[in-house]
Amino acid sequence: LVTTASRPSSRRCTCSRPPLPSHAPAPGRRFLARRPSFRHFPACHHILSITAAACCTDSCSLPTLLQVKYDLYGVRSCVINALAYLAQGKENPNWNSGSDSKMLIPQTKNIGLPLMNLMRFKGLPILQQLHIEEQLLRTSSENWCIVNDGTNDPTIVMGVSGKPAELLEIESVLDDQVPVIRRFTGGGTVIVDHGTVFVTFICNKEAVPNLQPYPRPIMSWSSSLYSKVFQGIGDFHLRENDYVFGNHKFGGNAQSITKNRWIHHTSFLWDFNVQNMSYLKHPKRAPAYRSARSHLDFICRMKDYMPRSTFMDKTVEATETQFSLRPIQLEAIRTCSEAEFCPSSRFLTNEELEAAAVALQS
Amino acid sequence: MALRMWASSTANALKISCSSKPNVSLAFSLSRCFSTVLDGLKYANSHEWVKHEGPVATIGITDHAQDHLGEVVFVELPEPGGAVSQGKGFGAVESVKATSDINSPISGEVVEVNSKLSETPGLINSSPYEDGWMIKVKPSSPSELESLMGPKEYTKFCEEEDASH
Repeated sequence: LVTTASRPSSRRCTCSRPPLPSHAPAPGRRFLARRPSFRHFPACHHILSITAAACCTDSCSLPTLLQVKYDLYGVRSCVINALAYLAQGKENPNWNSGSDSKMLIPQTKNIGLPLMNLMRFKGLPILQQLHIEEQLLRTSSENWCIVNDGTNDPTIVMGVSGKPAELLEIESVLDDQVPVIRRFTGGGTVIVDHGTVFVTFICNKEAVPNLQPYPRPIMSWSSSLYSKVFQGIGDFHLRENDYVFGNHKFGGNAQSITKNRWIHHTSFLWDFNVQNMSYLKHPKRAPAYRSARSHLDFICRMKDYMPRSTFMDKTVEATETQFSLRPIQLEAIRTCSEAEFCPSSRFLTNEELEAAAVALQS
Repeated sequence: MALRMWASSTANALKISCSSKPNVSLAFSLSRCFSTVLDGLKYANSHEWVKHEGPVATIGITDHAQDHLGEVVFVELPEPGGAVSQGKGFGAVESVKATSDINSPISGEVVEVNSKLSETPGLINSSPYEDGWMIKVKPSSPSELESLMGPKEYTKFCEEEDASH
């Protein structure tokens, strides 16, 4: 970087966007003019690509270091403007809308990796999680990872085509008023509670290079990611769409695939209540490796293999090898309104469960 | 992989040349690992097919799609009388652990739905172009068919898609 003592350059930005109302040295003055409020800064989409020769003295971009000599006052303006953008990025909720400018920080950390938003929850109700997931799948164009550390109340969650009469001990479920949800993804039935850890990936179909957006390739990709998490632990592998240690299942998977995006979510049995398993029947469609074993002989607890926080941290680390992660708070997502999107995951009513029980008996 | 691609191309070429009548059911297949592409149909890049016969067009998913999806266990279809739009979802299939959207290759009004699929969703796997048809539609814009792929174009599309992954 070479500086001269010359007066501020009058060169203008050569990109198609108009110059930004940013900080600039006051003409004819040797000290910096007052910086305008950063709330007036619009998003800058060319901050990484523009040359200093074009924008240094009267716009917001950081100079390209190897090009052109800069005026000292112009350099100071650029630095102040860049700092203003970084500050804006942390405060301005509009940066969640898809503007390129919000990528400034992640791009400089992990240049070349696709961006993925990371949301972490603890005890988020499972229905709320499912609603958020379906909304993001259907209405967002970004990649997302959601980690929910447990859910509040024990809840039965069936796949999209699940039949209560075939899958549940309905009388017990009704007697004990266990909530039952039909979710929007495929797959089987689980009962989840505070001992369940949920991890979800929602991706554009181009997000993972060379990955065809079909069930088996997505399942295979996910298992390779978790292989990094469980490396050397417990003989982890993917077996007929389940995550197992040996031949004991500890993670169940489900997916939904749209034209251009897909979701893959997993419920991990970090711990479970033995009593809760009694609400579930032995399913008609079971993987061959289950070999007709009862629930308790078929599943195992992840707590016997890995601490809970270690699992979640390692999962995030493994994800970071393929994506540039950006933490996002729930408030940053626009809330669902009936006019925009209505999720399909819902509680089954007592009437529906009772009707299913009656139909089974008849 | 290269041998499979060559064999697939050869098999598809043979099938196209001998399947000139759209109503001929294609019972022959060298191997289930080859995807069948029928002559006389039009194809969408989301792997649905459409057969236009007079005022009605029949829609389903291709052999390539059912092969990649796996065993279909559940099908969700619209009601007759509903509208479908080109490129937009009209239903879904569940296979193994996944629901996958089915997108309509053309716009129009649903006039008939294959009710057999509720009891026997596996027809989509065993007979994707015949018994596994999904909906019949009265097209609202017949010109939309011209934007779809023909058999040879679709075969090449599938080969390129498989080769790039």
